[in-house]
Amino acid sequence: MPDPKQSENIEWGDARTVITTGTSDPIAAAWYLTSNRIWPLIAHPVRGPFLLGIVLFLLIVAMVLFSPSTESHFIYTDF
Amino acid sequence: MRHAVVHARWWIAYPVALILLIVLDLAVRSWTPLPLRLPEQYSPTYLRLVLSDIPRDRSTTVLLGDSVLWGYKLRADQTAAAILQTSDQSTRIVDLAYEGGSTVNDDVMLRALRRVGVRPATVIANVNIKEFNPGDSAYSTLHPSLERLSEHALTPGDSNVLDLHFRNSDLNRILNDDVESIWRFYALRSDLREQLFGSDDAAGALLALVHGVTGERETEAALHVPTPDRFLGTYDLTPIGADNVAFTYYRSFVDRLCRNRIPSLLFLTPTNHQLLHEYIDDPNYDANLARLEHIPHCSGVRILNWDRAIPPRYFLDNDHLNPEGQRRLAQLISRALHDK
Repeated sequence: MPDPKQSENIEWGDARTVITTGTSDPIAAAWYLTSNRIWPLIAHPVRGPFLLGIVLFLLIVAMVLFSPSTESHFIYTDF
Repeated sequence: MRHAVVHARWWIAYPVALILLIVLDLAVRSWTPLPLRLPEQYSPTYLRLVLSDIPRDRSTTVLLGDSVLWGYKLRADQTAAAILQTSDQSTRIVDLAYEGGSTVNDDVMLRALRRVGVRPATVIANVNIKEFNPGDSAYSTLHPSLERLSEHALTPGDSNVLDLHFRNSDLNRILNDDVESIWRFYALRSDLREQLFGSDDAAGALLALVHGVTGERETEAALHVPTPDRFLGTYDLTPIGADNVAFTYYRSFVDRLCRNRIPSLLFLTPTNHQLLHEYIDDPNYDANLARLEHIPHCSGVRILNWDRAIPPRYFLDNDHLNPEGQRRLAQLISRALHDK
């Protein structure tokens, strides 16, 4: 089974390496970042729910702010 | 050896989100808007906040009216209200004029002011003859936010003659009102969008940006150059009578000012006679102006005919003034207030 931290026998090091040096294998890089960096934060039994709460809050705020305006709209027919 | 399995308590996400929403709401509730003028779009909650923030002392002058006093196509600091405020710091000028204003709106706005206990030292209002035309969009229509703020105070008589938008309650409306009553952030969503995007919503801001990049904005501006033919039908020369809704509310507005002993200056809106010559330079137009000028009123209310008070070069179109026009209007108001 291939080492998830390696792609084409290149030692990845950490996420910074991927971003700064670029790669010919972006899918592997994205997978590495998701599975080894982001997912552990979400899956963490203590930090995870708090993070999800923040995401939920941001989603609700974004829904209110970015929904199209239908209220209080006066159609101003000057011309 | 058995490892203890720690299960994440995912339900914690809900109280975390709720606490953050409450914190945000408290921050929004601390926002007390008292702007130089009302924004282009504003919610009933925003209007209620503005009315409740008006100083209750006897140094407040309230401006009521339409887009002419609001300052159509001008920055807030270029309006007559801003110029008057700069020239007299001892008086607090509150500009409650807005796009789509009319005498119908003035009367209902004055009622709203009185309901919250505001009794201005002076009321200044423009009376625009074009809004007495039954074809005008503001003839018998209230601004949606003013209508919603005042809906419980509207009389059956109002319901009979006004073109009300929120007469019928449906489930959507009831739910919306309930959420707005407990969640200030939601109630002020249109105002927050206006502040954030400078437009009704994000889509409007994006469209404006695209139009700016593609040059569409200049094309649209060129298409909207005011030419006389655009104002065909804007002014109704039929004699204004008691059956005219705008006239009925105009009289009611003046009566209310008199009953409440509020010193007031009402002026017939300056109009661009050069642009509108073929439509309004007519004895019937002047007869209608005289009807508006000479309605019965008490000595505390002055009605001045400024229809021809500002030369044509200070107009953007039929009645909206350019910055120099607003400066001249401010001078006229200031002089009239000092001559009383």
